[in-house]
Amino acid sequence: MVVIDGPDPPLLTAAGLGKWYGGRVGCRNVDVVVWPGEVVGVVGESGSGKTTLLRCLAGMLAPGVGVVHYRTGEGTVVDVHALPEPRRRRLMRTEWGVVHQNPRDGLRMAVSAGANLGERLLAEGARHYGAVRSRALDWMADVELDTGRIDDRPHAFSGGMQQRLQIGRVLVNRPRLVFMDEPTGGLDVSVQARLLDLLRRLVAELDLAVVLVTHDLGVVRLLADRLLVMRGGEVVESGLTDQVLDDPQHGYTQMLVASVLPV
Amino acid sequence: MTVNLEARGLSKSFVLHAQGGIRLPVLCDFGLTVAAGECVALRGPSGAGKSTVLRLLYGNYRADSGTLRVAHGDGMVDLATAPPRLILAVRRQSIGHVSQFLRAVPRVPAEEVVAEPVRRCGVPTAEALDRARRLMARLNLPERLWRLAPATFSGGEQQRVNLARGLVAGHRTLLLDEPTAALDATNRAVVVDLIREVRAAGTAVVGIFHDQSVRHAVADRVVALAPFAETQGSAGSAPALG
Ligand SMILES: Nc1ncnc2c1ncn2[C@@H]1O[C@H](COP(=O)(O)OP(=O)(O)OP(=O)(O)O)[C@@H](O)[C@H]1O
Ligand SMILES: [Mg+2]
Repeated sequence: MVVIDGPDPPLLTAAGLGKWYGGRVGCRNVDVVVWPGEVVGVVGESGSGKTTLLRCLAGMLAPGVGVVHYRTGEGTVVDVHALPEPRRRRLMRTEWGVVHQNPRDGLRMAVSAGANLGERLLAEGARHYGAVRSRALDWMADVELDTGRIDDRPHAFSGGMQQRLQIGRVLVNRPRLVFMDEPTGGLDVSVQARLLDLLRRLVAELDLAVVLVTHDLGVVRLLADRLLVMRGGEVVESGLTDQVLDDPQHGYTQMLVASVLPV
Repeated sequence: MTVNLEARGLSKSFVLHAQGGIRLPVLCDFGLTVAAGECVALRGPSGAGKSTVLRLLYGNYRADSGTLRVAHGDGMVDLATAPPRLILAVRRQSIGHVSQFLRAVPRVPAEEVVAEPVRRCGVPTAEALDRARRLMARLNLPERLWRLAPATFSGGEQQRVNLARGLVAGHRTLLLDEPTAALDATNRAVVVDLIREVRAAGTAVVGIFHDQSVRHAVADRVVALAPFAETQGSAGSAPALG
């Protein structure tokens, strides 16, 4: 197990993670390390355990076995699943972010785009309305939304716009670690390309650490530094993204790579 | 003599699980040492493993055995055993690979594609773009293309974008996979000049140059690769003069 210590410590480590749904395996024997500023992709077919793993890492789902450690901005190391609920909530609102596949799961649909963007700032203690509003406006522009629509509710936005709004809402207070589950799933190809480009830019500009779950190898090729390949709940192969995709060692990874039409 | 790259005992085979686990040996006990300012050309028939060698040297393919030491910072890093994060750092700062085809990112303009490796080293955007544009101009890429995404560019234009991207960061070791294959004579000559310039500045270059005149113009040494069946049991490859 990697210890969160030393001159260049990781941000998150998980060891021996396992989760069973009744008798069915969600994930098992999974070790994960995430360093600051690094994008770790998790790929595999549907049902391979990607989302289960993500939810265990993000503290949203208690694993059956295993531990997740996180190094906070203050430098203390916490056992994510042993944290009292309010602390975990606070962590999720301040240092972490979660981008859901369906923007409706991440947005508050009943309030304006601006209120969505401002929420984390307010939760962090921002009190000055004008300042929150101006940061929200900056973020509208940053995620390539028309600033004139800041008072519209998300209902009025297209799927791609909602997804960009969700991303803005999560990144507005510069979290250190972001969990993304199929952030480009369910979008048209051209909308996906735009979103990917946006994510690429923001990840680099904000020096974000990201755990990115997707079944789309093209997405990880563009975004991920490292990859975990999952099958049947287990990690069958991991390593540098281009190495895993261009020189896959495991039969399952070879099958995944061979199943993609070359672009 | 400063050694920038030193490969020893490199072996590589591919195991194709979907095809009954068939094993495809490509390289056996391959060695290569390249000094700063030197250019080595890899030569051999199609399928001999030339691109495989470059990809191994870049850490893109995993070596079955052997060491692969690349100058980085004040020392050498063995890419065969380095963790992914270190490989990425070595690629950012010390070694560049120009693949045969550009992998275009949707929507990203050519000048940003070219500037990206410089920006990743921490150079401010404006300066990175400036360096990118100068190199693109040198490679005769018309200015009207700079703001466009390269996906729709011609083969030769894409290759020049790819080359500019590979050269722009000034890495001290450079791997070039057929950098002039899609270029006309004028642009070939530009590329020859550029390679000579980086060599003169101390860059170690390993390249595959199908064009014999290009090879003669840039390389000090030629290393011949033979298809695996012909080398099995022997040393794998022997340096030869070309
Ligand atoms: N990722 C891979 N998976 C399986 N086999 C591979 C892979 N990459 C290369 N090979 C095989 O390795 C052998 C050497 O290929 P390589 O591309 O290195 O040849 P080359 O000398 O560069 O040929 P060319 O002159 O045609 O470009 C070929 O038989 C090729 O099919
Ligand atoms: Mg080749």
